[in-house]
Amino acid sequence: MKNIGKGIYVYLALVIFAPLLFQDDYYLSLLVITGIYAIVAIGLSIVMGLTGQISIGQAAFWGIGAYTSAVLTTKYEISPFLALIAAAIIPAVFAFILARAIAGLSGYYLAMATLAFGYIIQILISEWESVTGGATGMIGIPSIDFFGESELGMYYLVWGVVTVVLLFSLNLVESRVGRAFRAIHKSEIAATSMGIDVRKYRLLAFVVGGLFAGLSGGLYAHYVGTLDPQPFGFHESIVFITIVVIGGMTNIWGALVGTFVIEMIRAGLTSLSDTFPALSGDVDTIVYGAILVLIIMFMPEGLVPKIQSMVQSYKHRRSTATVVVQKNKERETAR
Amino acid sequence: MTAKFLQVDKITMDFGGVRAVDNVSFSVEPGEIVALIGPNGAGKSTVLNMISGTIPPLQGEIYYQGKPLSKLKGHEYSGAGISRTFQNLQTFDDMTVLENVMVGLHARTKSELFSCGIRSLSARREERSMREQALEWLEFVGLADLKDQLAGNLAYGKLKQMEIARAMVAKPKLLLLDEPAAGLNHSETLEMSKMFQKIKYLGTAILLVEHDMDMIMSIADRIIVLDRGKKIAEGTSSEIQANPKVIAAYIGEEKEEEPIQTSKKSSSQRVKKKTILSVKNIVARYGPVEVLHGIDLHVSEGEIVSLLGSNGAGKTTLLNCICGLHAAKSGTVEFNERDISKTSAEKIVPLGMAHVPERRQIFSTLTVEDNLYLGASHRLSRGSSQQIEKEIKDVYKLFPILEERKNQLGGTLSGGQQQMLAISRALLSRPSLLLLDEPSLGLAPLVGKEILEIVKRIRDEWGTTVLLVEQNARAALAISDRAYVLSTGKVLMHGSAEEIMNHPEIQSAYLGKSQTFVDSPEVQSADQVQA
Ligand SMILES: Nc1ncnc2c1ncn2[C@@H]1O[C@H](COP(=O)(O)OP(=O)(O)OP(=O)(O)O)[C@@H](O)[C@H]1O
Ligand SMILES: [Mg+2]
Repeated sequence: MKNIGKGIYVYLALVIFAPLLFQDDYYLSLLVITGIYAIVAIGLSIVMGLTGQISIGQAAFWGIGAYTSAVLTTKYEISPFLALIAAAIIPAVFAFILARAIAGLSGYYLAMATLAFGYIIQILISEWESVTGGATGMIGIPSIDFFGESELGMYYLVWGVVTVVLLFSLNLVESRVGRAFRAIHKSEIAATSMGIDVRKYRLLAFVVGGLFAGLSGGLYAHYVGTLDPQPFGFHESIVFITIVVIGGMTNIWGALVGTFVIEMIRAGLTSLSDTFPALSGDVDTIVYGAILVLIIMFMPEGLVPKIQSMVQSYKHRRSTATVVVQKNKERETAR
Repeated sequence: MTAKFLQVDKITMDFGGVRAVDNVSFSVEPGEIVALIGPNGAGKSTVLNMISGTIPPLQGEIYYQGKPLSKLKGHEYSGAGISRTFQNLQTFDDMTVLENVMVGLHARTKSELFSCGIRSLSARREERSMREQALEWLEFVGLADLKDQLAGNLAYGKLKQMEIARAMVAKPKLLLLDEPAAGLNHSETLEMSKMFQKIKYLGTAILLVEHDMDMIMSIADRIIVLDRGKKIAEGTSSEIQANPKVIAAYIGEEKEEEPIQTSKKSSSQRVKKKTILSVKNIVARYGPVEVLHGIDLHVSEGEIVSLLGSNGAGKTTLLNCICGLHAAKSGTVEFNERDISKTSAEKIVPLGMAHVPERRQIFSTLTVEDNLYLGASHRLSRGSSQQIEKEIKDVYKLFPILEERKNQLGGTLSGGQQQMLAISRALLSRPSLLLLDEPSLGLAPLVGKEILEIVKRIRDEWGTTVLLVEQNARAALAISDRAYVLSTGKVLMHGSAEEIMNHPEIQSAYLGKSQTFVDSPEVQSADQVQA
């Protein structure tokens, strides 16, 4: 635990007690959705922030996970928990195949390839009617019985998964594999000469990202109960990227904080659009775009790293201040 | 063929029609220190790149312990016992120094993704042992107290040392070093020489590229000389020093113990001129760490002023504060009586200040010529382009190799060629004040000597004022009017070049004798590292 720091205790307390503060189902449902997005975002920050690979196709893995779990439970009546495992594994396999296919690409080429992959998957979902229900989608996806089929049960399940994913990722960052990811990001030549198999680790990062996204997709399917292809495209992929950039790509906590910020904005816009109908529709895209631009201009490192460095220099100033005070005192006593 | 430890067999490399390495063969014995020297662009780094697997040879083969290296993949070299450092630093800047060195252990460790994610018992045990080994090597190179600093905040010379720790932690049998002493001052270089002797006694063979002839002569068992891609000589240090071909191509005529001459005339004759740069009480920090604690300094028009001091003393940071690349925490910088403390770097250049940073920062995806034009870009509107073309021609006269390579991409130049380009680019902005951060870094001795001559000529002919950071303190003082000595972020002393030159403390720490020999290696402390 020592690598992870005290933040984790604050986090755990918040997760456990938040439902006491927000007993209203509406707020609880916001928190569940936030958790679901956070899982994808954490995976993406491993792919993008640590390893430095841009993926504009993360919503596709999310969709594959959602449909895998939905199809297995509705058509084959498999238990949702088993289906969730499949929802994690199948997107991971897709991620593996994709990463093999695009090995060696980086920068814009990688971005374009993942973008194309995202489109292909979304089209596949809409066209494969016999299985996915096409554009009309699927209904009646069973909800998960986690200590009762309640909003609260779902909250604890989702945030339980977030916590596992978060701890796994935080551990990873400060480990041999995490350092290999970060090394590749900075210098492939140096990484290779230290014995790091660049292709292998880039692929691994992709697989982890796909696995987390798929798991989250499965939870999403069971939570909302109906699916259609619409959320699993370019728009949502961009939302995931925005989340990660806002929070701070290089920091796993950043993914969590970024998700909160974005979901709060989204909820705010939704409630405002009740009074101002002009704010409905794709206005959120414009807002995210604006935020993205502002962050890149004024805080390129993202929220969490920024706050960390501010805290650090504050602490430093305080400690130097105490030293000065002490010195003054010493001087006085010497007199 | 009897299986040699390392046998380089007729390797050749071409870059876009230019033969960078031409049919080169040599061998290295276990535990031997072999030096690879030669003019800038001779192909030394390219040879190292081929041996370390970074680029495969076009022709020829390299045998390592009897087996052809072409069978290995790039990432398998480290595990096979071949480690390296890089001429243009390849450090992981957003990791701590300790983490950087731990990456060096990658090939010697096993924990995979899942066990790392759950922090399994074996992963934790391995992590602990990696940490311990990395620390031992950081202590060995003398960086243990900086282990938790971000590598991006370290001085150039310290990073060079960190790269050595990162390579050595893998316990290689063959260590490839590309200009390890670049950016180190005299006493630091001596320390490093001792370090290499210890490494040798640990049984690791070293193949090193270096322009510091004192260092080479004192530690190399054998020296191989390259020129224009071809091997022109091989032998012991005394053989090489006497070889006329090598003297002509590389070392230059040795003027025995040059008497130190400071430009006395200029400093005493000069009437008090107006102050062009005035720095008052500059405080600077990286994150929470304060690296400059209130620096005062002034430079008068037409002066050459040297900034001396060991690695990490804050020289580069000070230059960065002056030219606006680093925001000082407090204090003021006045340039031509104008406060530029809050002015951003790109607005300072048109005011007449040019900066040649230590890490060169040339535009690697632009050609040499385009890099030069960019240097003059802010004058394009005023000066006619013919005038600038003429000036570029003048610059080509200073560095003929740049003209030869004017269509090559900046990033593919050899280290020394990049240095020449960076200096040329700064000259083309016709600055009234030129900030030079280690201009002779990575230059062959002949060119390195010349570059300081050029600096002096620029001052004499164009009246350019120069603030100079240079590890070769002796050479720097010889052309300077005044000098400041920095130590751990403070001005330790300042005065005329002559005063500084004759100060006993400075002499022992930065100047040394011109020819140096290394004490016998301390085998005891090497044992500690091995344990
Ligand atoms: N990728 C490349 N494309 C084109 N030319 C290249 C490339 N890499 C190196 N060269 C050229 O090959 C020659 C040898 O370069 P190399 O870096 O090996 O020189 P070096 O001996 O290490 O010189 P220095 O002492 O300046 O570091 C140089 O002329 C350089 O410009
Ligand atoms: Mg080189």
